[in-house]
Amino acid sequence: MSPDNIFEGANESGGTEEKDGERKLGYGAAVVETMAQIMREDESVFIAGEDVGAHGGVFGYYRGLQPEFGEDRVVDTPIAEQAIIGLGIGAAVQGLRPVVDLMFMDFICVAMDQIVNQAAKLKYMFGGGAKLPLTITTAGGGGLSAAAQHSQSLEAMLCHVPGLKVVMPSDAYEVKGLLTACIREDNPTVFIINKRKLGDACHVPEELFEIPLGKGHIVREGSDATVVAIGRMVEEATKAAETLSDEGIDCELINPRTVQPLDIDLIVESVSKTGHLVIVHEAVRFGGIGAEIAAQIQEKAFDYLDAPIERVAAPFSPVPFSPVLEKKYIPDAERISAGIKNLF
Amino acid sequence: MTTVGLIANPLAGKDVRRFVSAASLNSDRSKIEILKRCVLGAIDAGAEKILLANDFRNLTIRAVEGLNLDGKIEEILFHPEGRRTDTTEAAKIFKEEGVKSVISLGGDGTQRDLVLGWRDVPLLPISTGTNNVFPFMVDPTVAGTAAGLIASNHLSIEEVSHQAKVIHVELPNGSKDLALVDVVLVDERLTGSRAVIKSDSVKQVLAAIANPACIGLASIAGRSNPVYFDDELAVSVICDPSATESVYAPIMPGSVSEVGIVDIKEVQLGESIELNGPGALAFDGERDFVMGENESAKATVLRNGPKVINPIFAIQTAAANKVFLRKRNS
Amino acid sequence: MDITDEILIDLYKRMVRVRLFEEEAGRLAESARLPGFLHLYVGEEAVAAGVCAALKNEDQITSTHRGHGHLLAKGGDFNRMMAELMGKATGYCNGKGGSMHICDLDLAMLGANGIVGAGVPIAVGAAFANRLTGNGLISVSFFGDGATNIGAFHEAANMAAALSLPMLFICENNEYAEYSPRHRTMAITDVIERAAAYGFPGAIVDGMDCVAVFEAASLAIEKIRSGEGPMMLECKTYRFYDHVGVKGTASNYRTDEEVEEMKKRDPLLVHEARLIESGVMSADSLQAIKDEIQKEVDKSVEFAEESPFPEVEEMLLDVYSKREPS
Repeated sequence: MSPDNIFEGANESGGTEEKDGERKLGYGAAVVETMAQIMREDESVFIAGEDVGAHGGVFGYYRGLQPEFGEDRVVDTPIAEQAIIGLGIGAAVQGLRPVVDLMFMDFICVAMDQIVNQAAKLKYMFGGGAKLPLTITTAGGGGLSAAAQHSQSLEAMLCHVPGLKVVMPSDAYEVKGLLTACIREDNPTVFIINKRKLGDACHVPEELFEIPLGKGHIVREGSDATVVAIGRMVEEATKAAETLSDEGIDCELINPRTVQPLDIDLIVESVSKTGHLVIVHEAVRFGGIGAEIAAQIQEKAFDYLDAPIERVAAPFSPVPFSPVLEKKYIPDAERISAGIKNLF
Repeated sequence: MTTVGLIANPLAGKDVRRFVSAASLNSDRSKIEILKRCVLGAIDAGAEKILLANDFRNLTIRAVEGLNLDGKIEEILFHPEGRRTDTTEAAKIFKEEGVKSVISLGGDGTQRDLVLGWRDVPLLPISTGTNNVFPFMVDPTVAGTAAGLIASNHLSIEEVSHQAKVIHVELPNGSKDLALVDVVLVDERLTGSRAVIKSDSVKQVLAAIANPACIGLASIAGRSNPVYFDDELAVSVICDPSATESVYAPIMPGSVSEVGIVDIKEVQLGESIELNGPGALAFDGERDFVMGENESAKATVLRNGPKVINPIFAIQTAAANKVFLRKRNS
Repeated sequence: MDITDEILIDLYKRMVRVRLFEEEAGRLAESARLPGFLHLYVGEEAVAAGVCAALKNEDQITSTHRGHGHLLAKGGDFNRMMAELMGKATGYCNGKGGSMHICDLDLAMLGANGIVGAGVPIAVGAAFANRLTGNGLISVSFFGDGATNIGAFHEAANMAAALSLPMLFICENNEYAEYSPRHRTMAITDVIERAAAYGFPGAIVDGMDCVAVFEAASLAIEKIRSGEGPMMLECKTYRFYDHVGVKGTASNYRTDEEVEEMKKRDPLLVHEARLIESGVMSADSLQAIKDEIQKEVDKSVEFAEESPFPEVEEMLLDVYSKREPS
């Protein structure tokens, strides 16, 4: 199956629909809608990347933009990740607001110099002179049998680099609010689109709005355990929290929305209330963002903890191909529930 | 020893005219392939030795790599510096070594540098330059064969070569220089990037070969009053952008310019004509000497240049003489 | 183009600014008064001077680890440069960039770069922005011969060509990739063959002659500005000092004879001889220019030495766009 076929469904269900008077929009469609609205209001925004133009992106989340905005602003580039990021950096320094797409998050590795040594550091090395309003969009996460080079969650690598902001929307509402914030932001941001979420719809306002970067969101209030879930794991953690609620464990679910900057204060506040912390992410456990959160919590809220911090994450292996293995690899509601129960 | 000399100018066909005209890039790789075909053609034609003038790109040496011709290949002892004088120095060594024929890859400028070192060199010039009035566009295997036939005495140089004219120039500082195709006075005060780009800067063209079918500054003369290789004449054209008459001439590949013409004069061999400053003198297309307000250069065209081997004619002569027919042993 | 006396003198001043500043920086480094690595441009001045003189002030350039020359030739400020080399708060980068990251966005100099070849894709981006906004500007990327063995260069060259961007590639071919001679690191000798591979024109010019570089760059720039897509100018040049510092390492990667031979083609000497011969300047007036610029250099050393080091708080500023600690 080509990525196209995989996401055909995503695009179909990605359109808007009115249900109970509430406007619903798919996760992938939210990218398209946001981009179109921003490009209409701000001429300095353009998109460049592999197959983003005529094809609308291999996941379809740029579909329809080139017909409206033309080839000059929705630019098909060669398969050249370093040059794509370089294109964005050079244009951003010139005052434009580029959105450059890296197709699969795994491909950031090909462009690591331009991201880590150039985009992230130029402003600092230049003594503050440069603004770098660059948004890098890329599709991360597994669950599609795309195997080890097309399924990774590499956000922790990026979070380690001062100068970058790393954004992980968990639903279509956040896609719109966070992408708008990223594009209007004067710093390089990496906007990680979860490819398994593309077809999921939820309520999304029609007008552009911003969700501030660095502010987490309490998805569900609770008193017994704090669950921090990242990206698509918010959905799985929500299911787990509902199940456990029936069993008498009242979880408070926090979605940080951005992992760099990280809203640690929100987590500290919650842990000081619940005394328990579980961190959930798709990336491998070792050196994952959960390790950073756990370290900061023991620094800032050690006295409130009633149990060791639990991490539910992928095991230390590349993402396997076989659907059976991959299902075991990526955390799901069941594993999250088990992780939470470990604390009690 | 029957020896063919082989030399290539690595920098030929790579100057700024690629920015402003449709001139193509002549890569090292393509030059190496041309050299290889020359070597194989010459050996096949009976040359016992190929004397390589090394260049700073090792083009000639790279060309013979893997050919298993060790006994037949020799390099001249020479340290190339990557400058024009490399070609001139190599030509002097070829002369000392008594080379029977020289294959030289380059454009008009390269052939001039060679002739500066050996004026009446037995020369088979192959075009890999930007402007190629003098050298031949010919398959290198054929060229190698022709040079090899001469080196191995299957053909005599007198039979298949014609001596070229040379424009001898006395410069205001007393030094002497020469050109094979043209000496042009341009309204420039510097040699700069050397190539002559602006057609309206041309003040005077003195051409020993003014072939209307050629590219370069000499085409101004060639399209005004043709003078061919064998004509016992040269031609001088005085140019001025404000002239009432003009000629359309391709001064660079694909770049045809209108050049105002004031005067056209045929020049006899041995007759001296003056090129008066201020301006820069371009020899075979390259600005090389700057003259001040009251300075002037004196130019005289003589037929005492290289013995130019026409490869096609040489091959045809050899075939007519049945040189290629051999008896089989069995 | 008419190369006026003003242009000839301007080219000379640009080269002298680079030469005298760098000689001073070299002396300071030798006496351990500069921290960090210093990659001197001495010997290659004709390239930066010739190209920058042919540009508009607003045309962007990206540079290399050997970047002082590019910024100075584009009009960089001695004081801020010297202060930056010393890691002072008054430097171009508030003391946070140093020699390898010197930049001046007001001069459209988008930064020297510590990563070989990394500036080339950034220049592609600037060229893209120029075309999208229709501002009539071009971008220029300076890079060495060694950089053209790096993937980023190839991606950038291909992209600039595929998108037909207004960009000038300037290869400063000094024959050595750090300590490795060119023939050991690539099987071609002329980098312009790589331009041909990506479908755009390239030409070679004598990189030790500022007039030749200026003329060639001007020809290319005119074409690029008129929308003919990218072009590459390969300047055959040479660095007189080592890859790093003045004396550098003790390795025998090139001979003293070779260096001495190339010093005979010193771009300053070549141009000085021309200026005197053509009567544009007397030897005395050339010396006067040097004296004047040397005074500015001396002042910059004073300025830098008297300038304060950055406060510790500065360390956490400018990581992100707001000047707030990260």
